[in-house]
Amino acid sequence: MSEIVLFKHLIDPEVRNIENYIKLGGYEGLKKALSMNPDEIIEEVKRSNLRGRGGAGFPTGLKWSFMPKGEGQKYFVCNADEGEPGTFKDRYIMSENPHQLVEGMVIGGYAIGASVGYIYIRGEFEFVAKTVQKAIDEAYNQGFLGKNILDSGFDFDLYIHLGAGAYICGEETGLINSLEGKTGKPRLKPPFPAQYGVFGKPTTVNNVETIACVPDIIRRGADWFLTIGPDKNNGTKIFAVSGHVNNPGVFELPMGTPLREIIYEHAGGIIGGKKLKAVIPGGSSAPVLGPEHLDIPMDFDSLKKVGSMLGSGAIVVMSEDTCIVEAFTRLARFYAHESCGQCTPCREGTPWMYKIMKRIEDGNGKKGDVDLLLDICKNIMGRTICPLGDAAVLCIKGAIERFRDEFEYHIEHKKCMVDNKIPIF
Amino acid sequence: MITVKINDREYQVEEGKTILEVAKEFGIDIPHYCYHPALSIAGNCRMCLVEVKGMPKPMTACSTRVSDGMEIYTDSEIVKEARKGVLEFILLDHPVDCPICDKSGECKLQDYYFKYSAQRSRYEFPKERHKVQKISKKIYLNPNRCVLCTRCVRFLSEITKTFELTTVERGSHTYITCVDPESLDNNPFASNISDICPVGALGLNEFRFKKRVWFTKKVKAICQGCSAGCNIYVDVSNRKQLLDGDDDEIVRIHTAENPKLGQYFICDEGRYSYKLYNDRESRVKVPVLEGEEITVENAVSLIKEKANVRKGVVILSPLHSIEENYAAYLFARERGFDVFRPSSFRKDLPEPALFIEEKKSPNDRMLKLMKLPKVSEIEEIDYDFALFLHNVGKIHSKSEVRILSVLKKSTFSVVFEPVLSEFGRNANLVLPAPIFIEENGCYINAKNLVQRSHKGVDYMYLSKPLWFFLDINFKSEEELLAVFAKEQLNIELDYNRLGTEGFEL
Repeated sequence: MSEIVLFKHLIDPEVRNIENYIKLGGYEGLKKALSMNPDEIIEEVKRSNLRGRGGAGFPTGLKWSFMPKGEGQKYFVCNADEGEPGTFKDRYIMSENPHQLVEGMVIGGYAIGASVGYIYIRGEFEFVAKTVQKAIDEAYNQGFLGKNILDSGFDFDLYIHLGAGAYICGEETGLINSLEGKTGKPRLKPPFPAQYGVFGKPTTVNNVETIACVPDIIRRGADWFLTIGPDKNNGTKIFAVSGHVNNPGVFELPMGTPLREIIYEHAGGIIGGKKLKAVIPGGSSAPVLGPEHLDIPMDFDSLKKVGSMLGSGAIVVMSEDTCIVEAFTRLARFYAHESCGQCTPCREGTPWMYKIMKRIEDGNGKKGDVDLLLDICKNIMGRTICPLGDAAVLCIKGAIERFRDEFEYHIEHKKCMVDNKIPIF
Repeated sequence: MITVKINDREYQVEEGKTILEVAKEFGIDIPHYCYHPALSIAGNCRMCLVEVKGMPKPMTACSTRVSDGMEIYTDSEIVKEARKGVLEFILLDHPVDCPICDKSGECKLQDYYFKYSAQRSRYEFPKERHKVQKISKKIYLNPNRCVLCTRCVRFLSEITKTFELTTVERGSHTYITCVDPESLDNNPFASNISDICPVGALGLNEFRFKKRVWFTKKVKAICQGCSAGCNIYVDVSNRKQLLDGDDDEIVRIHTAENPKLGQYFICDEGRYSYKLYNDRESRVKVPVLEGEEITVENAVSLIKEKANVRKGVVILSPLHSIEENYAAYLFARERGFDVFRPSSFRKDLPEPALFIEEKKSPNDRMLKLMKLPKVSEIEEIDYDFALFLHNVGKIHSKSEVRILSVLKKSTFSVVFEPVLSEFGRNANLVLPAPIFIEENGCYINAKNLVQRSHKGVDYMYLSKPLWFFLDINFKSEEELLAVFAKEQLNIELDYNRLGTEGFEL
């Protein structure tokens, strides 16, 4: 068994209780952190090569160092609006091992000088929020939250905010607007949240998994963290495997674990021993890969090299029985539905793409539709306020480029290439 | 100052400005919908995308601040392609109902599509339709034409702070809706949203289906409603080619910006004041002596004869331009007549008081600067000759009473006004005055800014400027302004020096 950093419930199923968590070394990281100065913590996180687990893989320590120094209200926000199709990892950290997130929040808050933290949880996860709230209450009782934490003079209050179900609130500035009570529409950047965030104050937003890595990095040191995973992509990663596999689920594995190992060993291989057709390696926004990529190490840099991305680490496996057109029409609909409607290319482009794909899927596709789709992709890419437009393009363009023949077949024969197809989404 | 390169040419620009602002300064046009100089930056239309060297993707000119050494391209292939893409997206759900759209002819969507795209839409799906609604007594909303630039939403939340409009729903289903029609009815600045709408989504009920804008002539003028001196466009019906007889009727007033004044909007009171000037029934069309129409020549010689007295008075008007007033002043000075000024009519300010002043006359400040005595200081009212300048609009009621008694008591009284009023009815001779768009005239607003209102149409009927009736030897209005500025303010001033934004005293 590999190193367990986040899924401590695999060691002790009752780790969601604070006593059990403390027994496993919980809140030791916080004690150590409070004895260090904030810059040392940031330095340690930088040294650990911890990168954002939400999708972009931005170095966490570097992000923290963008926060202005000195007095003044600052906020530390946890992005628990886990909405990327295929992704279901953060909810298990929160429901099974919530104290690790709470501890990470306090350490992060201390490092960046924030006295208030928010955990923005997607609306559908109300039951998860209850577990996290219980953990927060326990932490307050034990003096790990509130005024003068562990007699260090550091104050930190932690609140849960439930979203209302919009994917776009997973984008950090959309999340900030939603947190403020406004509609969840992303803001123009610059200014970045580190200058102008929640209520106009400097803010850092990190993903649940990222923050949950922090306590162990502090407790056991960056050098320990560096021993896990390949260079520059250190640590463990939770892979959420779904689709046509025998054993779908979440697996905490070292970064760089080969895709083949994840699918065939951990997820039990493909249903019915079928052949692999396609695999989305990092949530729906990551361009789709094919069987030739099975030996790729699952980490940020390796996936980038093949033109995809690790994203949230959500692996969607599609067997040979998948109709790609059907699968990606469903995803196109998702993006069209979740576009916030603020900026033109995404607002108008995503539903247009969906309509064309639906037409192809329904057997009404026209000659030239595929090129039209690619042209729309080109007109959206890089021209929107936030990355939702780009994500939609990466998803759809990736599928068209890899499986263009299947789209053309649909248009020409007005039917699917695959007999007895198995739906994926 | 920093140096930036725009389209391979170097410019010295101020730090902190955005690319769009800088480009505008140098006359480089960057198309945009959501940007408005008086509103916050939304960056949502994506029309102003420009190429910045070293940046991986095109940047929005409205939100990107210039930095030293920045190289910007506003017309490169990348930019052209981006604009074309954005325009195609904007037009996807648009009804393209230009023939029945009141914005047609001055619509940014029409202009930009024609200039930057001009391609056939590749969209083949049914368009989403909403009903046109009258969201207020004054304004209608056609959500189908909306490009969701949110200028109107931002105007009502940032300028008037009344929040009547908002966007609802998400994605392509997003539309603008009015959450409080009653508040919008009572908002004294609400009609500005029809001006700032770059397309035909918001319009004035009053102007709906009224006039094709290309059959109007835009006259840049100064609003006559109060002493704020707002810059306006007066749209005058101009269908000479069709000869259907509605020429020179004012069809609407809308905003002309004056950055020097910080004025980007006008109040609804000023906007709807144009109806007063369309009253042709009451217009003084020819000189009228004791109820008899006389010729202009007769009027001129009659004034010359009647003003040949020792005890005369000239009462100027805050409702008239510098030029008209100063002609009367020079006439009085030559003859040693008394000169007085009436007080302006006052009206309580609305809340919030934006681009509006308490004093309801455009040129109150001029008469104040001349330090003329008020009409209340007139001691003996039985003059041998009295001349009063009046205009559309009101003066203070106390002044009114005083002036009326002067006119009644004087041996021979003359009133110069465009629309017959109580003053004209009590005068011996009424002279047909032009209305403000028929002549060049300057006004000094409450903030001491001298601004010019332009002549847009011919003198109607037999109306003439006052210096013509008084037979003062001037060739143009401009000369009168120069004399006034020299004598009263000790500065050299002409129309050229006023520029488009006016001259600050």
